[in-house]
Amino acid sequence: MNQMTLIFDAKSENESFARTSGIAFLMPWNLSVEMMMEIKTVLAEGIVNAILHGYQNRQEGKIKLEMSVDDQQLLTIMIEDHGVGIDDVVLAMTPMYTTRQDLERSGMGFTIMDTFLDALEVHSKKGEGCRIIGRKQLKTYG
Amino acid sequence: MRSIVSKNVHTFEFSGEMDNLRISHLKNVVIQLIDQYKCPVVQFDFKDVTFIDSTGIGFILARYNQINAYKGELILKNVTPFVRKILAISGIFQIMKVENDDLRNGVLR
Repeated sequence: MNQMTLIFDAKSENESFARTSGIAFLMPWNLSVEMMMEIKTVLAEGIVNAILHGYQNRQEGKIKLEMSVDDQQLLTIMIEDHGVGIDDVVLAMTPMYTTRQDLERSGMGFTIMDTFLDALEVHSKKGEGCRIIGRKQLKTYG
Repeated sequence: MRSIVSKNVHTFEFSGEMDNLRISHLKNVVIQLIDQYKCPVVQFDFKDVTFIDSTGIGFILARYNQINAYKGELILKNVTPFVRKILAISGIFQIMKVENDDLRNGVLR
């Protein structure tokens, strides 16, 4: 078992820092480029959700990213914010559904996460922030 | 990003990581340039794009609508395998034309 926690400000300029750090944590597993890109995208989507939806693009607040890999090489990703939360999680996870058409959002964030993960859970209540948990079986390359 | 206008074709060459931060910087410039020339064909070239996420999908769909409004056409060029994977999830290929340089040269990858 190996684990890491990263806490950072919900600023757009931290998006690339956070997703790249998450990928750096997985370097010892020698993953294929394809798998790394999938995980990087999952991280990007979760972080952008926290910044734009959770904290309503105010560019403040804290985001927590936790990643762990167990002895069976199962990766668990947890992304947590303490923002506005989601009224209806099922609706929010519907492809093309967005509350931010004004920002030209596609509403595909959760769909992309779901596609690239083996399991995705979104726990949220209005006013209580959001916690996204994703699981993916790692396959060591070569 | 590079913007090249030649013979009614307006090409935008994007590069690097097309994430939320980058697109928030690019968006207004691209909107303005498209409106300025209103070319019948607008091409987005992804040859040097290394990363894209749902923000990119939203950006492409919004520009598609912008170009469609003046009856222009948006063509996606040199879509790399990773970019293709992301765009395929969104169903973008059902409404937009994709052109690859290597396909035109008869080389299938």
